[in-house]
Amino acid sequence: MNPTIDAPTQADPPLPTPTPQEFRDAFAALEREVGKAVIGHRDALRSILVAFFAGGHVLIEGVPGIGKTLIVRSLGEALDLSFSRVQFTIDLMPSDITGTRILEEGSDGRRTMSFVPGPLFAHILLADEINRATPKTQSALLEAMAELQVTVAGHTHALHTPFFVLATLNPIEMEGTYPLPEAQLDRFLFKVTLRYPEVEDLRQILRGTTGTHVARIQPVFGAEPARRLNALRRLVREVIVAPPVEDYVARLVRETIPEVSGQEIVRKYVAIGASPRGAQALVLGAKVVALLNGRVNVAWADIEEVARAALAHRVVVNFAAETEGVTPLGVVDRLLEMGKQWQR
Amino acid sequence: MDTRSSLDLVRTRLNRLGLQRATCTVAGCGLLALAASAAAASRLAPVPFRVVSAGLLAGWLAIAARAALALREKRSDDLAAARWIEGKVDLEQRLLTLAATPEPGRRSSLWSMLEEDNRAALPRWSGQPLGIPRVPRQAALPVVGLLAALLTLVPLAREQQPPPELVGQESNDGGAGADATGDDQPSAVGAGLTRALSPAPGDGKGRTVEGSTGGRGTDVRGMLASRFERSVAGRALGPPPPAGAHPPDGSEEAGAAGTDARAGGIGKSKDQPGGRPPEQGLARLESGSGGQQTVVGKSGATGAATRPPGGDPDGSGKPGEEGRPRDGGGKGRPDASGRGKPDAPVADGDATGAGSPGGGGSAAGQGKGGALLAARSLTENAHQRARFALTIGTGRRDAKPGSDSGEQDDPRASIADVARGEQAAERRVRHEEIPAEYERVVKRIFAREP
Repeated sequence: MNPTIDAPTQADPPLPTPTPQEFRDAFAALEREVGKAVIGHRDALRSILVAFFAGGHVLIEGVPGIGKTLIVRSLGEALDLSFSRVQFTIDLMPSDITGTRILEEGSDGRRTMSFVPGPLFAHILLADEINRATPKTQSALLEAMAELQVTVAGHTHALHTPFFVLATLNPIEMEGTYPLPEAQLDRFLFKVTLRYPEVEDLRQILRGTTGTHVARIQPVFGAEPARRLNALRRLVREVIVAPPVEDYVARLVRETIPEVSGQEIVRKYVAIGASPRGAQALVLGAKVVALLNGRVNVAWADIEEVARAALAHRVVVNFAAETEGVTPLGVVDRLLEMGKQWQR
Repeated sequence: MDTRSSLDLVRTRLNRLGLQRATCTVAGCGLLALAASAAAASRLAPVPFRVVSAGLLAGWLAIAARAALALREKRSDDLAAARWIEGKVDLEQRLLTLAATPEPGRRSSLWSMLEEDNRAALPRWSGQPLGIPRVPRQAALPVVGLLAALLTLVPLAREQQPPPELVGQESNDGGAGADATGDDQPSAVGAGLTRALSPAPGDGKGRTVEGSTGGRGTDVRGMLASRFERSVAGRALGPPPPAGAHPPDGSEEAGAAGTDARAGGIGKSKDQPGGRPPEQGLARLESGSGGQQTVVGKSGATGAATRPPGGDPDGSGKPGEEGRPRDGGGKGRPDASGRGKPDAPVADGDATGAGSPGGGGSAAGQGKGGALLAARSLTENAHQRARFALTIGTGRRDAKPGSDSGEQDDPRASIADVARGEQAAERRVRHEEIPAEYERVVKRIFAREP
């Protein structure tokens, strides 16, 4: 049976492409509004926003209680977009997140099968503790994240745009969890690790959350936020990348593959290297960073800024690396150091 | 000036710098190789010299090829120039993007902003030196090579060109010596002429008047002729011969007769009684078609005075000649003592021909006046590669390769010459026609009658 595709819900013509300055202003406003609720984690928040404007999804890793859910919820409020939250558990089924077809009886007494959208049909989806769901359920996200559509019972449904998945991952309590397969990991543009807040940040958290004062997040975009966000995303795609920069990105990603890499650390400790999606993530993230840095072209520094978030979760190290304490981040850092000579 | 023009300017400067580097490298190495080759030429034997020269040539060609390849590979385009500028000025790859982005990328709505960004950043690098040197470091190579070549070639050139003053000085000394001793032999003059016109020492061939030295040889010859006529012919040789003087006929017999006729004035100064100057036009050098120069005596007798350039003697002398071979082979060796022995143009190299130039040289040896070199040019109608040497009353020249002096007197040869001269004189006396009126007296003498 050939699937049919529902037309996108937004049929309105796109807004004119904003200027880089408008982009920077919108980005700064988002950081400011989310920062009202989220204390600290400035780098993590910046990476999340970069991935959002780049059109990707983010995997957030952090211990419980560190503010993962708060970040996602605050971002949804600031963007003024539809927001869904799914708590992934071991008994969660794919239809629980994608939606299902149910039998409905019409007013005339006739019974028809109709589709009931699941939580995926929102602009922002929080997949909390995604590693607790079974691989079958996790795989239900693959099509949605990559192709922005869901196929249920042979019928394909387009998702809303912008569609942004924020999944959280608990690095502890691994009992009863299912590590994300590489294919699933590869669909996240960035992986952001939240670290424990500093003392000053912790003091502000206490001051802001234990009193009567509750931070109120104002929407950044007044009317038609989705259309405005899509316009900003289009602007990101307009950023110019010179062929030498593309060559640098390609070589950087290529060097993560142990079979072809010229780096000893990669050949020795890396089991699986980054895919072409890694290169796409590097360029898209660098484009956003370039705009934020006041440029309309991607520079070496932009690539380096997003490389750790874009490549670390795509580089899978082997057992030897784990025993010797070599982490994917260490491998990426080493490649970036070596990559300085490729820039000339 | 817009960004593109400035970028083109930098690219042109980079390419010019690369060309300068390649040119200086090739030229400098070439000059150094030339200097090394010249130094090797003055110190090495021919075979090692050829090997060294071939190695130098091969090395220079390799360097030139490498320079050409490097010039081709490093030729800067807009992208390379943009990279160079980005390396010098931090433009955050704005210029690199502008220069390297192909047409599809330029259709971006942000392209005009990129151009504007580059225009704004233009003062940071346009018109700046950017570390592009005006003169590359390789420019020192030609300078060093030129100095090395000059240091090597100038001394060699000086060695190959004898100072004319030396010949004149020797000529004057010879004339003075002749006057002082009254021996009437322009030995020093002959030595000077011989040194100027004879082959260079060591190579067995030496310098020639009309040889490879070309015009310089002609100048030396003309100068020598004029000086000789002025200083030697005018002073040492004295006035034209008086009437009744016995002229040499240019043959072996004439030379012998001169030896025999000491009483007739040979060997005496022109001022002394009985002294006689050589006849004008006594010796005349002519050129043979085969590159030989022959000496024609007054009587028309000819003898091969020189060898072909190949060194193989091919002279043919008059029958009955007994000229002494020079250097063990030639005949008609001049007598250093000047006592009646003929001075002859000396054959180049170790001539073994039988030809005797004795007649031609005898006049000079006898100290008679007249233009020794004749009015006719020495090289007129002669082959340009002919070599000859004149020895006037001096010792024979040692043409042995490797000899530095070039002139040595062989005492044994002198003794032999003296003895041979006496024997020849005695033989001539025996074969002399005796007048009829003396027949009776002679018969009585041979009969040992009282």
